[in-house]
Amino acid sequence: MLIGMALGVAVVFAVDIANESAKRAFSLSLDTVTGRTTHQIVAGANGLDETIYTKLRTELGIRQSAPLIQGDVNLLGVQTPGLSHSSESLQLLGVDIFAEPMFRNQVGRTNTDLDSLKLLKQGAVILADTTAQRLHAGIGDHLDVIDGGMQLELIATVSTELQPGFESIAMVDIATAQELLGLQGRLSRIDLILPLPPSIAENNPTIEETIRTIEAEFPGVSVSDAARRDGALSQMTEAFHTNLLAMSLLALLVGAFLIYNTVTLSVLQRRQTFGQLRALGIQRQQLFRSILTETLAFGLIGTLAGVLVGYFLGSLLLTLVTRTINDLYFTLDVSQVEFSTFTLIKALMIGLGVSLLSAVPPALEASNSNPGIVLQRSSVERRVSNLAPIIFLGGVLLLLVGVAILWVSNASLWAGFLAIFFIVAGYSLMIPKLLLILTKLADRRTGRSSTLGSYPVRSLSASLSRTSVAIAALAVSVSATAGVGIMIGSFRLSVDNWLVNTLQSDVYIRASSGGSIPEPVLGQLSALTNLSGTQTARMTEVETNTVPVRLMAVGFSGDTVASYQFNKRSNKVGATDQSMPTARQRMESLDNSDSVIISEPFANKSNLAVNDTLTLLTDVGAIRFAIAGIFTNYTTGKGLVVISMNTYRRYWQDAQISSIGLSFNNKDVAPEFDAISARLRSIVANESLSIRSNHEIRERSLLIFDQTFAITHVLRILTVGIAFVGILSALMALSLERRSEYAILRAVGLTPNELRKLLILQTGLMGLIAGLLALPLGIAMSKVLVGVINVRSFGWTMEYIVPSAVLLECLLLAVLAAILAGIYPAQKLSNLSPSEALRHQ
Amino acid sequence: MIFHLVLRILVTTCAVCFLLASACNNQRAQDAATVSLHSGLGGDASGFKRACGPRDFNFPADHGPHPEYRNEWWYITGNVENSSNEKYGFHVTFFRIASTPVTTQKSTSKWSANEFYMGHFAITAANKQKIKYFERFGRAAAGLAGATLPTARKNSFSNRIWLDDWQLELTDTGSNTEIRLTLTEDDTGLDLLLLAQKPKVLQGKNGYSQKSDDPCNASYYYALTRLAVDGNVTFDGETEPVSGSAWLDREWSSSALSDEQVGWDWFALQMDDGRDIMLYQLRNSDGGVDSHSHAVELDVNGGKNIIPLEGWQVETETWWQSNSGARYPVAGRINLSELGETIVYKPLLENQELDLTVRYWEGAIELFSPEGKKLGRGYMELTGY
Repeated sequence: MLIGMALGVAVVFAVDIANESAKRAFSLSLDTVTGRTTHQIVAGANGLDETIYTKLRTELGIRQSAPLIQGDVNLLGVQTPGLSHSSESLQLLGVDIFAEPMFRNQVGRTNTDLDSLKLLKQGAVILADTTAQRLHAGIGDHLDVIDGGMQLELIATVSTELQPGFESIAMVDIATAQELLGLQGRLSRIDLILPLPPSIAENNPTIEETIRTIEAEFPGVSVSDAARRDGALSQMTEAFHTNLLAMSLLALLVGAFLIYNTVTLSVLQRRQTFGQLRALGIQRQQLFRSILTETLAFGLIGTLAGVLVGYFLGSLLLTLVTRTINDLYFTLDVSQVEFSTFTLIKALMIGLGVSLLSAVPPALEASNSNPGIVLQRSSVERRVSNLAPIIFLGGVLLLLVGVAILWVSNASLWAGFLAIFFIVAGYSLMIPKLLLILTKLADRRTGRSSTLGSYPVRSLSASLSRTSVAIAALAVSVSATAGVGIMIGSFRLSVDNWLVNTLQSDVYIRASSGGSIPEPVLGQLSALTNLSGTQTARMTEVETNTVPVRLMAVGFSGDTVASYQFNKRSNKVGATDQSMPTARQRMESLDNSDSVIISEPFANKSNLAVNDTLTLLTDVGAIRFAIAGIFTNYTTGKGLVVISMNTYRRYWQDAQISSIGLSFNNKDVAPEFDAISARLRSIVANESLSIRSNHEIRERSLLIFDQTFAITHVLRILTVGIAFVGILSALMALSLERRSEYAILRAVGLTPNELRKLLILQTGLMGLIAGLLALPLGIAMSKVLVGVINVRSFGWTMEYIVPSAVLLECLLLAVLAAILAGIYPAQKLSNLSPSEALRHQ
Repeated sequence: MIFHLVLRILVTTCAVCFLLASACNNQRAQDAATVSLHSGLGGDASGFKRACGPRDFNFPADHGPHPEYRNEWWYITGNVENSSNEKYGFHVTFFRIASTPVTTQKSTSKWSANEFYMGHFAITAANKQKIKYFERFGRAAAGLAGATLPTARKNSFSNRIWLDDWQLELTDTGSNTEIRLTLTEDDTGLDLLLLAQKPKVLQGKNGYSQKSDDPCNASYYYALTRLAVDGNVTFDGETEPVSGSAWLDREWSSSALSDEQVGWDWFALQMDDGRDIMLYQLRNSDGGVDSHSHAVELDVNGGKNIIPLEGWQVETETWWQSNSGARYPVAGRINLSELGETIVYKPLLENQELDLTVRYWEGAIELFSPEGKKLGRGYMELTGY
């Protein structure tokens, strides 16, 4: 009983705290980066000219300002014998230590007696203590930068207890950051605290006046509100957290089934004792109250144990959650498990509430029965059988409500989940009736073949009140497995297709984030023999009027056109298929006019459609670009905007190239390709560039994909685990109730082995039924997940395929879970001494 | 000047608080990050040049920075009055502090810095009985702070020392030296033109100023002891034209004080009769006066007369205790037996403590005869209390 309750509570609590911790870490990390900043000076793709900052301070006297360089850095841990060579992907924060105290005060919270001037030293880095531990790095150790061609020296650590947001951050001097990212002469942004303090120069300018002054002084820059930007950033992960929450609600549903079953079991087990107590003169009310009190006590222990287990489970899940966030959104590192009292109270209420509610019917049952007389199970079962059609109708109604919600709601993710919940709840209400129908069908088949005739099948429908709950629990969890499995399968296939389409070149050479490929390297690359085509791109980050987006400027070739799959559905309502331009036409229009194509998630998130305009902050100010198309893209939550290289260079004074794709003749001839690779490596040696073949990228991407969905796998397994315990407890309840029944069977000549077989057959049957019932629900769920939830939460549309393997797997899972759960009660019952069991009659 | 000691304190306490620009006056920002400057100031001076004996001074080049030495400062104090004879004291210092010797870093970034600047700026208003003071830091890179070498213009050489928008511009024609000071912070500011009235003085032995028995515990030190001041002072947002006189000290070195020296009282006295007197006494941990204390009298034309140690003595008459708990000897008398005169000194305001990264008392004083006759004015610095 305790295990059941604890498990139910644990899963809900674990998902909750993992979710909460990740969210908190995110907001802390934003705080750490933003600090007391109220406004930020930002500019076009390459950030700001660094002299703007100097002028700001020396000429305009605006000293509440701090320069910042932001980028990504991959640090390789210190090689430690016996430990794996770890690496960490972190946000690189380049700061000016002399401007910092006003903005971010983490420097004061270092563990070591930090001499902050050490940060001025080339290559010096400050990390969070936990991050340093993971990298096995101590003060003074040197850490290699992956793809950076540089080493960083750890000079101090910041306590994550005092400064939890620091965990994702590698703080370096601005000079080190410029070198590391190849951003000499540039700043990512300048932080400001406005309004400015009273000054003698003018009569205390207002915030607006200061912004106007800055924007007038430095053409091409804009001053944006820091809070608004952060808000837009945190919205990105909102959908992901909602998904997780929905998962935890599903676990809750299954958990509630479980708690219900365990509590019922514990009361039923002692029906005889309760009868004796009644005979001894204990009153109904007293008995009822004491059963509830006992349940409450057990519930409390179980819930507390669940919270404890959930806490540990939560920290495990947290790793998965953060990995997903890292892969999908941005660098975030959390090790601290956090939960609010609200989460705790929620878990307690769920554990206690559900156990109390579940205890009421059996407690009533026990206290209402006549003393000494064992309640006739058959009467209860008859009642349940008669109720089944009514419950079925109720279920159909709920199902329809769910479908209606899907129909009516437009973009709300919550409505999508609510619909799923209704569909699942409605469907599980339909299960008793469906069970009756299925057993009748099965009866006809098995009735003639077995010695026991219809017994195994009919006894299932005869004890509908127990079996249907267990089967429903198993069916729901298996259907969730199926639904999510189908969704992931469809998703993976779509991503793979997309990768194959997008990666048209054979080898990609890419500069580290924000950096560029040096001119001589480009020259050498284009002089390579065997080259059949090149494709260059410039990747930067630019500001729109709301969120920053990634801007990719591409030079066009035949390959480029093929790289983009245009979305047909994302056109404005009313646009017919005939009027849609071809991919080639769209790409050509990019070259000739001020237009861009945008990624599907970005289009969905920002509510943009073809022919709308998008404002980008260019080097000559804010320019409106027409949207010529929306293309499939499964990269990250941050929007991707593609522009032609010609257009890009018209608006941005930036002739740099951040990546180049190379296609080769004879690439299938292995030795030649090896020679090419060796040549490439010798060209780009000592530069902070990465070389990856399209196979590598594809493999890595799919690996990331699988890692990302690892969390859903874990949750699925947990859910099935709970269902397994549910089946086990339902069977235990059943076997207890039917001790005498089985005793009679034994008495009339059934050997223990035959009885065991019978019981296993029965549970296997339960599993099969649950599995079969789960399939339609699973398919329905996957439809909603692919067609509604994914679009609403990530903005991704994808192909829909139902892999038969997934369905078969689910069926097997259900049967296997049921049979495994049946082994213990079967073993127990078959060893039962018939005389002993019957003596109680 | 006395900042040898200041540096020493930095070295021993290690903890340095950067003050927020907005936290003016005595309000230290509650959450100002504590940052230590240890390696920049203490530790070993290897890789830096040291002042171990006299050198040849070379002007105008020596107005500019000496990056081969670890520390350096441009230090100006002055007393001015407005048209209604209301008195102001002002103090401006630009410190250059190197964290590593010049050549160790090779960087492609313009932000790479092996030295930084610390700026102190204070104004005392006698009639308002108020002092306002500020501190700034900035890296000597990316044009944020620094000192240029004197460059030739028509008949003069000119160089600039700045930290953000605080600036000192020095022009030397060979026969004349002119300084333009422009500093503002919040509602306080200075815009002053300073004209040297006497030639440069090389302090100590031809500019080599030994601070302890170790010949390398010394600095190179020259001064302009009297500059005529004209310009504007802004206090509490009100700008007024002022005039008066000021004093420039230039010092650079790579060393700190010896272990037994705990503090320093320094006086820059400008007498109404045209003489200037500079004296400092180094205090030892046993309470006595260190033998490397020093006093010098400069006549109207800048003629130098070193007063032997036994020929002068400072006597404290009033102690003032600050909120921080430190007690400073803010008033007293200087007995110049060698010259046969006694100077009574009184502060313009008792509270002229600067509670900055390094806490010290630096303030304007007025000079009287024992009979109460006004003799002149000056600046006093009290450290290590």
